[in-house]
Amino acid sequence: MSATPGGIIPNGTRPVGTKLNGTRCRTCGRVATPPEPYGCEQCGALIDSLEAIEVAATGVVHSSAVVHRHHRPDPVTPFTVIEVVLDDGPALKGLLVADGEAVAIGDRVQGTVQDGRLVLEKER
Amino acid sequence: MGRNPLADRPVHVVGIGLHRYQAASPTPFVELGLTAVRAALADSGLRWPDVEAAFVGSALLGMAPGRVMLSRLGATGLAIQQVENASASGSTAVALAALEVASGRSDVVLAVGVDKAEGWRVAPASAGLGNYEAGSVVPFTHFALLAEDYRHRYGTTAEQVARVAVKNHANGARNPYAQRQKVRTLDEVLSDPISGSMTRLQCCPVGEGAAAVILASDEALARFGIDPRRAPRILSSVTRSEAAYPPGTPIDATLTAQTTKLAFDDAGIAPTDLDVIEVHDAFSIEELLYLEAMGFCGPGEAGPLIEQGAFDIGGRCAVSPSGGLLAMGHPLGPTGVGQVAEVTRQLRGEAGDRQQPAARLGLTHMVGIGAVCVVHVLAAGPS
Ligand SMILES: [Zn+2]
Repeated sequence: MSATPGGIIPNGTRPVGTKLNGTRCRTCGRVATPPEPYGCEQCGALIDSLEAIEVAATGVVHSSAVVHRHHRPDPVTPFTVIEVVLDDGPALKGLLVADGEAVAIGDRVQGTVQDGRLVLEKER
Repeated sequence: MGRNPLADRPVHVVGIGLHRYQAASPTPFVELGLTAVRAALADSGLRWPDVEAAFVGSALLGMAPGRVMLSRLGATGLAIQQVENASASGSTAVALAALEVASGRSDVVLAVGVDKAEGWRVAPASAGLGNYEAGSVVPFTHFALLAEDYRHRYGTTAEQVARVAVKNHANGARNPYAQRQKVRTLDEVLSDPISGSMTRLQCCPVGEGAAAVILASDEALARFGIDPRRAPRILSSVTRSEAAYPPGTPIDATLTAQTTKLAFDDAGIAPTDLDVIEVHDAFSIEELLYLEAMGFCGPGEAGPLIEQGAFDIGGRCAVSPSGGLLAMGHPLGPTGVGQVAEVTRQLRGEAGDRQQPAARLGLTHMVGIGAVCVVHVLAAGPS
């Protein structure tokens, strides 16, 4: 297991080409991930109007921050939170993969979901 | 939005009172709240039976704190309503109290915020919406991310952002009701990192306390012989919530921009007319973001301006002269009411060594989880 910040991803499993479950509103086109369970946040369309889609876990770093204090033992500090604007629209917050190369605003990143968290690394 | 009801029937702040904001203690909320309400009554010269309705703002106390607290002033049978609106609970209590007076239903109304930092339960967490964070992103990281984005966009330095906290801690050091009353150097503020460039002293303390304001109509001013020079008027009161902005929109700044615009329009003023602003500075970066969002200065200008002292007491506009959330503290329910109390003090010219010279127009601004935003614009009484 990696001992570097976060300790999220065991050695050998890297985020490659992951698709996230999502929904797209047939009325207004709003994309949501995780899938929207109640109704469209943009236009109020009923759940029947939302189609299940796959959302690519790739995008551009909008911001990042190294977290030094956390109220729980997990993730282990310090860890890096990245805000990514996905190519398919939504903005999400995830963690920089353990032992991952530092990212800068504007970098392209790819991610996967591990233990309920989006973990991201520089696109290769 | 319809017509501004505060334009039709003037609403004045005639009494203010506080219990010091402090770290969690065994003091019951009833004692905190009564201290603030009794001080507000004494300040106004009114008696408790003169108060016709009360709005009680708290986020963490649970069901029905209002009557058990207020009945110990004498149970008069007045209207009592509980108000919860996250960090903006107190601001919303003020907003509803102002409407109660403007509607003509009551002439003298109390808004009181009181809270204890215990028993957190946040509904969005159980809304069944899900996310990919699994508890790794807390508010200080949300704002650390905004700070990083802002600094990258405008070249603002970590020192310029930290200047917000240096200023607000200095203001809090002169406020006997502030939780943090210590002058801090830039080096102290920059030490002890929490998340990104946000450090311990650039994050607000959440403790306990109480704040109360008494609002009154023109008729009440005349009937009770209240000095209009000590009764600033609430010109506008606007509440909005986050809309479905296009992806990539800066949510917090956009919500503040839209809410303050409506409040300025209702009040018939421009942002640059303001002499004093109490802003939701739970994290230092917010003060810069929101001053720009409300149009007080242009994008990226707030950093250099704070460095030049433009937002100091005695500067172009005193921002968070109370110490703000960063130093006065953020006990949730009281915070928005305490902002109105501070602006009232400033507009009366009674703020002592925190006084912004010749303050005539003031603004209060709170945001709460949701997100919601509540803004009031106040004007001094006749000089
Ligand atoms: Zn839609």
